[in-house]
Amino acid sequence: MAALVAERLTLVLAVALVLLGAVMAWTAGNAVKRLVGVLIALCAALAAAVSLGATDVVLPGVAVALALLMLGAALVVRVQEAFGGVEFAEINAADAQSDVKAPEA
Amino acid sequence: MQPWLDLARIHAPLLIIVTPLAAAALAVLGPGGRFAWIVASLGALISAVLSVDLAWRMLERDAPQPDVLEGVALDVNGVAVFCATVLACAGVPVLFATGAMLRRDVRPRAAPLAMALLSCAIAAWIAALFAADLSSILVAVETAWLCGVAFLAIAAEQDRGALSAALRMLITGGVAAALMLLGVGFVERGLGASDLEALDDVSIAAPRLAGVGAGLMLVALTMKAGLAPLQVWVGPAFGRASAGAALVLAVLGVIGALAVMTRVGVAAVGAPVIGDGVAAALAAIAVFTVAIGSIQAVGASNVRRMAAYASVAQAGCALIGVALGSPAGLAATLVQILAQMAAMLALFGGATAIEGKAPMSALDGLSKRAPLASATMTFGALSMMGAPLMTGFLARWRLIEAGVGGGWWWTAAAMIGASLAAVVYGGRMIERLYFRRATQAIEQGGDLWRLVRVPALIFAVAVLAWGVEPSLLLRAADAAAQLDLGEGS
Repeated sequence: MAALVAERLTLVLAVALVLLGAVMAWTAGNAVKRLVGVLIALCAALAAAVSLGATDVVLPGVAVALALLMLGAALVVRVQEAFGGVEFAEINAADAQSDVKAPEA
Repeated sequence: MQPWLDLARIHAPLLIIVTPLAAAALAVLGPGGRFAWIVASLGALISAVLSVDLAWRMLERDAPQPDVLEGVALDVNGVAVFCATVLACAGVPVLFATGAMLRRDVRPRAAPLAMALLSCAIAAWIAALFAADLSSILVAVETAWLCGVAFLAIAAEQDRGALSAALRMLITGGVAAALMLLGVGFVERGLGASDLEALDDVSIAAPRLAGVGAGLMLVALTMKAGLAPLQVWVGPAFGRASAGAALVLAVLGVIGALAVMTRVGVAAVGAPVIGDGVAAALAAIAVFTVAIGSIQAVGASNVRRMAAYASVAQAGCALIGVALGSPAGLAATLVQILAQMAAMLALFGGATAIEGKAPMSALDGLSKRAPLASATMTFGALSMMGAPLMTGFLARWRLIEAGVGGGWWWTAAAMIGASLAAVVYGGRMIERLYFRRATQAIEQGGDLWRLVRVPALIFAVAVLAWGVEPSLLLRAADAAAQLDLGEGS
């Protein structure tokens, strides 16, 4: 009984963390924080998979999380070099400024 | 020679995946960008030939693929064979065209890596279609997605905005990966098995868990395919991508994700207990996607964004057939996927004639300066509208037929609505191409970029050819649907 409660609790916590990570990934104003949000969601999804007994998906899941982390870190560095910052407000402003203005047809 | 060909045919599904991967390895190890371009194009071509042969044998001659022990679990079903053929055949012109544009879009040192990424993306999307177990599908989808993101970032020489778009795409894809991982966990617990075919089992151990898991997997794929309401990456990515990257995202990324979604969706809709719920959810996503994609395409101020949102609306049409869960609906979806691939290749291939961020006014009078590019874009737009004699018309007609046949009368309204919206945005594009005078100087590529338009033009002609003489296409789509959903499947 205690094991079942612990398993359910782990699952609920993991699912809550996935949602928390997803919200952080979409709403944080900083690119690094968004990346951290993605990693929280992925790690929590891995924990949920373990608590559900789907152990064969753990290794592929870890590989996916690592690949995402590495590519994400490389992208954050390139964005920092290109835009001079990793705040999305600054990036959005720079993007908007570089947009081509359509002449009157 | 014959024994080797027979051996290749026996292991065709694995070879279709491995050939582009081997080409990717050679491209990276080779001396430079041009070598990588040739090797990657050859790899894609061999993969396409093998997939066409496999499809011909399975769908036209009704010869089942023998079960062989490959070391990896593959499931060669009708949807997988049809969609893998579409992707492999699309991969050849995309690689050829993108390679021609590499000098403009990518640093010389990064060109081999860019070609290798494209080859890996093709292999990974096909692997996701052929994979038998859920964790392999997850890995293949994520590999393909990350290759797309990396290619978008590498091809950011002309516009740094492509870097921020790649970051947004990575973050959206990361959240989708977490949801997919969670979904795989739920499905495996619910089914007590790790392969997709177990969904057909009459006695699912925990149907609710399996249903939630299948739903999460489909939501994740919805995000990858850029379907509404989760298409947050579509606007920034297509609006700022280089010409080559936009072509890759539209033809390989969106179509690949849509094909995998079709495969997972067909399995989930056909599952007992959870099937009706999944079908209702897919139908809702489909209608929402058609509506939102069409509205966004009508309101788009940038050529590539317009084409991207049009692609979203087209993908919504394809999903309706999956939700129907009938062989007729699935066959119509497969025709729609092919029509969308060809239309996008024609549209984005033609759009390489203008700058990436160019506004709609950049199309004014383009037919006089770039008649071939304008013709390909026109064919793509006409197919999206569902104009008679085009493949798009055929797909719409079959979808309406399947919907009405299944008692879903509203599908006719959704299809007509999608076509009317396409008449507005596609018609506006054609009007600008042929009936307006140029108002600004548009920077065009040199002679080399004409190479890009050759494959686009071929597919533009194919859009018309498949529409005029559709018997082979319809037979293949029907056979694929019968293999998966027909009697005794």
